[in-house]
Amino acid sequence: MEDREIVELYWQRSDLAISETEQKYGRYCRSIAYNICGRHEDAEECVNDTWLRAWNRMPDQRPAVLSAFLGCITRNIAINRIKAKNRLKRGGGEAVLALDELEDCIPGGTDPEKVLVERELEKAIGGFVSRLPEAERMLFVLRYWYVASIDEIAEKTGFSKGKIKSSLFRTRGKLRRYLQEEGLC
Amino acid sequence: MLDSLALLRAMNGIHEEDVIMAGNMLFHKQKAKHFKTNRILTIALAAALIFALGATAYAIYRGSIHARVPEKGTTEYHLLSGTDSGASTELLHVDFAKTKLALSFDVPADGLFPVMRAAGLPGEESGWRKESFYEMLDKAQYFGLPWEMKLLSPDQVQINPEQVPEDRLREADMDTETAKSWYTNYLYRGPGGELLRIDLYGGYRLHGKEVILGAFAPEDTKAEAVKEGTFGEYQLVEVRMSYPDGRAHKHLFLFHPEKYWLLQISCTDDLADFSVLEKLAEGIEIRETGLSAKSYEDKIDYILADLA
Repeated sequence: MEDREIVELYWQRSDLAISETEQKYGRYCRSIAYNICGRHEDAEECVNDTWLRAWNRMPDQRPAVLSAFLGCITRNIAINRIKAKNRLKRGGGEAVLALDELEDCIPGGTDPEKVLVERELEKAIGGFVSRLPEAERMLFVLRYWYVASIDEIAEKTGFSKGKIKSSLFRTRGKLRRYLQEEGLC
Repeated sequence: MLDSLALLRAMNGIHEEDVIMAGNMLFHKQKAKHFKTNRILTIALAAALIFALGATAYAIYRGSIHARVPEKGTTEYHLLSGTDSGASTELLHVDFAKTKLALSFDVPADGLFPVMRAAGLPGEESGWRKESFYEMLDKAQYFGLPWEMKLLSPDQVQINPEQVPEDRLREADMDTETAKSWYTNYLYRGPGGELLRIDLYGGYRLHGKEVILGAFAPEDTKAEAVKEGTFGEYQLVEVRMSYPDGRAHKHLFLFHPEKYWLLQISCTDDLADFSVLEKLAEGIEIRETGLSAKSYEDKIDYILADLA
């Protein structure tokens, strides 16, 4: 079923909306949730919550790209979940490694909450990523949007793990400098 | 408070088209194959760039060799002491705030062990001080390990076994004769310290590491990458380090992007121009021994450093 048809089902409040979404995007959302949570049980609950949240948002929203819309919801739910369970340093899955790496981008001793709103940060990151070279952008998104493991990225892209790590290291450095220049941290 | 979790969440700001592109890679095999094809095409385009725009464009495109000013912070590293010529390794704390320049390379963990030797060093080179290069070589001495050569000037002399200091012999955890033989290979005497040094690093020694220049240099030391480009099959970076006391050193780096060899030639600033170092590099032959890196050296894990 086409995405626009699935979205239409949501707008019509049809029960088929969720089953069609599950069929088309179940594996996709489970993968994202599992990468972040590191547990199948948690991933399953995240996905169920994703369908519920999508149901509650449509209508009013009519997402242009359903996969990205659902993926964002899943990410938020999964991140909230690991935060709530305070499991970050005790086996929180691939997200733990990704989070450790992202610490590189955050200067110590700053409290940017006063100057930062989440939307601005998202907008800045979106602009930053879009200007990266294609391969570098691909690796960054795979790692920090999909929270895919280095092994998985290597398998899918054909790049060596060393190259991937090196690329991510450089991109994190660029992001850190970019956020500083933008006054976001 | 911005933390890594908030940053991870903020990745939601990544544009949908980028998310879709990466998602296709992750979830659809045929797309992944397509991307690899793109990579081949990209490489072909890069090759075209070489011809169209010349070596500099290619070096810029490659981007796998780069100089950067490291982030501030303190990290533990095993540091090879340049003055000990690899005889020992020390665990040191490198304060990156004081590091002037670092070079990093994309290299795999494994690799074959390469060796180098001087072959066909340029005899026609002149202008190195008042003597010709070759005449100077005749008077100079080489010594070192397969991955390292030192060229000493005539006023420096490698010590003989009987000149090994007593305290060195006492410190050595080996019998006296062995210690004498060992230190004979690593100590030399003469004014000015070593003038020229050539080091070869295989990929296995660079994996995950960086070549750091000026880790312990005074704060107002200057490091400048004066030239970047290509040198035959190698990528080239030339760096000049100048110190507050007026001294300066030149460093020439040649990185082979397929073999993952890094050749470093360093000298005191007044000894030679970079063009002389390039001539010297032309005369160095590097070959693989067939030995795996692990079989040769499996216990040393250090970051490469220059303590100039």
